Amino acid sequence: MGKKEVLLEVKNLEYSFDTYAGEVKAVRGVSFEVYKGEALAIVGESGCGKSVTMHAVMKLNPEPPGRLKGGKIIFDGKDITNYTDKEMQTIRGSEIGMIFQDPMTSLNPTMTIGKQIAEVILKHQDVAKAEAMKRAKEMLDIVGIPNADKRIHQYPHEFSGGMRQRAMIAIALALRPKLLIADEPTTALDVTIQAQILDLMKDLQKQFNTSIIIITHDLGVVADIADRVVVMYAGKIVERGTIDEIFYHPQHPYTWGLLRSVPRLDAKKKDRLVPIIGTPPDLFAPPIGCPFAARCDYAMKICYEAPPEETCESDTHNVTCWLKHPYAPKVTNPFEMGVAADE
Amino acid sequence: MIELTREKFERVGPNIEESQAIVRPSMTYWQDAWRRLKMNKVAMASLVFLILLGIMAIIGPYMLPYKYSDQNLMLTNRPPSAEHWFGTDYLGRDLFVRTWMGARISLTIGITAALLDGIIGVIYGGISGYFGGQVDNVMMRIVDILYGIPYLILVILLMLVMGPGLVTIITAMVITGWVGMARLVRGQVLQLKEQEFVLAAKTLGASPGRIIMKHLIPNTIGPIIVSITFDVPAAIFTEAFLSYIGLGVQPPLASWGTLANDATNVLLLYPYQLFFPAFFISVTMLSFNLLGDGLRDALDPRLRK
Amino acid sequence: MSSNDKALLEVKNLKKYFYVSGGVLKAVDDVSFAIKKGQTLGLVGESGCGKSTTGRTIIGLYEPTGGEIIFDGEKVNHLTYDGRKKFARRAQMIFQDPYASLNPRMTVGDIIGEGIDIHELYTGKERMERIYELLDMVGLNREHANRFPHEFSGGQRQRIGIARAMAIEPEFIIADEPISALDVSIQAQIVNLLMNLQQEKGLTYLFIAHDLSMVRHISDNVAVMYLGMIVEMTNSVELYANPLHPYTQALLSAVPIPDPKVEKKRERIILEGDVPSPINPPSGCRFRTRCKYAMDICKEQTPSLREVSNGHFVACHLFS
Ligand SMILES: Nc1ncnc2c1ncn2[C@@H]1O[C@H](COP(=O)(O)OP(=O)(O)OP(=O)(O)O)[C@@H](O)[C@H]1O
Ligand SMILES: Nc1ncnc2c1ncn2[C@@H]1O[C@H](COP(=O)(O)OP(=O)(O)O)[C@@H](O)[C@H]1O
Ligand code: SF4
Ligand code: SF4
Ligand SMILES: [Mg+2]
Ligand SMILES: [Mg+2]
Repeated sequence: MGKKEVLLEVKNLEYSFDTYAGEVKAVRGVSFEVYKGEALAIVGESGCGKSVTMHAVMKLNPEPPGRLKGGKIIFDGKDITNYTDKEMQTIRGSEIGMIFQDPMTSLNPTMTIGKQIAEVILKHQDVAKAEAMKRAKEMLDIVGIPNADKRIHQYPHEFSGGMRQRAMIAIALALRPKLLIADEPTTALDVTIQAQILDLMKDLQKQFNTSIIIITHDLGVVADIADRVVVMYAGKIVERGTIDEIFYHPQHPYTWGLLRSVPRLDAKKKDRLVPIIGTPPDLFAPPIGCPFAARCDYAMKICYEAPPEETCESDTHNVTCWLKHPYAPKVTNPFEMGVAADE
Repeated sequence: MIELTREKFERVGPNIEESQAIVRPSMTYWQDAWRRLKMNKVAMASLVFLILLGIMAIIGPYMLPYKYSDQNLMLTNRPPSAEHWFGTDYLGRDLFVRTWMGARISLTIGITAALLDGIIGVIYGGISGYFGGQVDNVMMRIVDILYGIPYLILVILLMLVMGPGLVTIITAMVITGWVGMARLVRGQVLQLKEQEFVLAAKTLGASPGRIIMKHLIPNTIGPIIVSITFDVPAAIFTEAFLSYIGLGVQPPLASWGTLANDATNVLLLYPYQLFFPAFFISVTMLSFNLLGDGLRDALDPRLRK
Repeated sequence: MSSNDKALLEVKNLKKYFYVSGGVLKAVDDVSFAIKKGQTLGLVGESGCGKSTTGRTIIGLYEPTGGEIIFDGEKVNHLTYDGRKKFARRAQMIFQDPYASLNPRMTVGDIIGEGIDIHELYTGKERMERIYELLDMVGLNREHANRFPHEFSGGQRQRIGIARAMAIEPEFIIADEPISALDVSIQAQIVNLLMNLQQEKGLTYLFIAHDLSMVRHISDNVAVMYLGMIVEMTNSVELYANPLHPYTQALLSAVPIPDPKVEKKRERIILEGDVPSPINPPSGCRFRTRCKYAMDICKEQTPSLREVSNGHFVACHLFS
């Protein structure tokens, strides 16, 4: 692979919500970058700050109660950290497209699908209405909605869930953005429809060379679509690396837990599942040490007292865990053995 | 900085209790609603005004040494003074005392009518919505018919049968007033009864009464309270209107409506007599409406976080 | 017939139609199965195919349009109020939506205690003891009894729902997609909890899910549903090793495998389009609009569920 160009860089992002009970520290120092043309997956259990992170990048969190506390966001060479809502509007939709979990709430129920796609085009480009409608129809063709001629005149409620998500993708990609952010795009869909949508996203990524950030809690989806993976827990990144590093050489006990809890249909026999015990911490009062300690089989005294620092496994692979400290007891990585047998 | 010693790296394992603990202070629905209502300055000002009004309605009539019906034909139509704070009327009755007597009557009528509307409407709407189908059909047609009866005709009929008075006015208001609440509650119940927590109660073998009282009504209580808050000023206004056209409480009793009526007779000569009843009617109605708006925001479950 | 004697629940030709504005919606159309005591039947299918309707009709929330529901040898469709209350003590349900399935105005203690109150099992101190016991059983803390549902995470709420169902010690539980709304790591917790409870108390489950992955771990038998009908049913080893119906094969193939190398090599069967409307289902085989093997006969005749090998039932003309 040649030299990779950075498209989006997030540095030490901190984001909080001021609620009645006090400050909810939803994102606590998150750094990652997205390269041109790659698919980055952000995984983690619900409530660990995945959506807030991406909404902070797009300035979509409600403010107040939300508040950007620190960090830097650089998109395509521009520092967009302190962009106003107006400045963001020139980027949203045209340079960064976004699709959400529930397509029904992100589509306008009183407007035809065609108009909604055309509206995005008209907002950012100086073209005639008829031309915009023509391109709206092409977009529906591209995302695989049959009878696009008829469909552009229909309303969202006349579409099925899967087709609504296709329409959302059509809107998000209408202006060929450099980055597509997909927040749990398939969580609300049936598996058969999920397979269709993931296929479509992979296709379009190749076709348009778009970078993708996909937020999900399903490692099966990650394996299908991602090049690199960021594992988040309690508002922090605990491990990041290429897809092979995360799946075949995972280093963090939380990543191990996630990997072990997914059932595998290709396994020969049905084993008992190994869940991660307990519940993620409330970010209203995050633990002072490693946030995963209360659920971690390997937790040591130090884990309850101080947060671990990020260490490098390789150029592309970082881990934040006390087990990497030279004093830590040696533990057998439950995933390394499987790989050794595999290769 | 914590000193890193080997001993710190002793394995202690997970702590399941801790990982399940809830750290946020517990907050009930009501505490949360109160917190949000407090943030709404306008609604709080209205609430304070209404509380003061309530207190004055209780103690106001005793603050001056006159009875509301005491006439003093020597001192008719006097402007406000140290002896008669709001002045006197055409029979020399003290207007300060009469205004707060009027507040008693107006608030009593408003609140009683709104509460009765509420109680009847909630029970009727709850039953209609819960059982649905044919029951609902029949019950809602009755509501439609009641809704169509012209209100004034009903009042006049009742006057003939029961004679004028407080009870007649309240009865007249309640006979037609509860249908709005019944419709509201029915709509809410129709939505709620498909919710899984209601299905769960049915699966556990809960009786219809239990489901309505424990599950449906408590989850409709927000809109019910808001609706009652809006009903009070409507009832106060209706009473004022009826009294103004002579169908309300009879002298020497006073309500804000009869006070306003008396004042209009002498409006050209003593315009300030109309000021007090008109002022209290409008500010009270406004306050109830603003409070209702505030409550609607505070009690709306969708805004909860 | 001897094996049927041991069936705790037997459903025969169950039908549930809804009369909606567009016509008759056949949500469940001639479904039959049996579950033996202590076993689990997994019921799988895409959204809208009638899984919940099946479950709710069995438990008595809906009146069946046709067919029979036999529980422990007794017919339990069209029960009176008292009959339903008695049946409720033996059969309970766990719901899908962790947010909508708990009354937001009740404390967790009262939610769990509701069954105890309705059936007047315990009062006062004993009642509280029992509630604590149930909280322990589902892995929650005792302090949680005074909290309200909105203070809990999705997985914790589902545990509360399980405790509520367990409070009256039923023998049979219908779990209607109890894990669909949860993270995978938490799904495994709930599945394991249900399996532990089954072992301890000898429970019988009807476990509903919308994909085939988790069901495998809890089910003895699996039935696959499509548009109100069962298209394939067999034991869970056979179904995953040897899926016969084209729809089952597609469902299996759609579940992504958490292994990038395997996933990149894998040939997926991608089904075209969506599930058709159940108001106007396709004639003949209801799957034919999305089936790549569809033949002429599929348009004309509805394939019936028949046994193609020992205990393996399929409804498809390819196997008749
Ligand atoms: N009360 C009702 N009135 C009318 N139609 C209904 C009713 N309940 C369910 N249906 C319809 O019956 C069909 C089956 O619904 P059901 O809820 O059983 O599906 P499901 O398989 O459980 O789906 P999901 O995975 O979405 O929960 C759907 O088309 C649904 O719209
Ligand atoms: N508008 C808000 N007000 C207060 N807290 C919020 C808000 N939005 C999100 N949070 C909190 O931020 C944390 C991270 O949420 P989110 O990013 O949505 O999680 P996820 O990883 O599931 O996408 C959670 O604890 C959530 O409760
Ligand atoms: S730092 Fe400690 S508690 Fe945290 S993941 Fe590593 S071993 Fe577990
Ligand atoms: S009966 Fe025909 S259409 Fe239906 S699944 Fe079998 S081959 Fe496909
Ligand atoms: Mg999210
Ligand atoms: Mg369902």
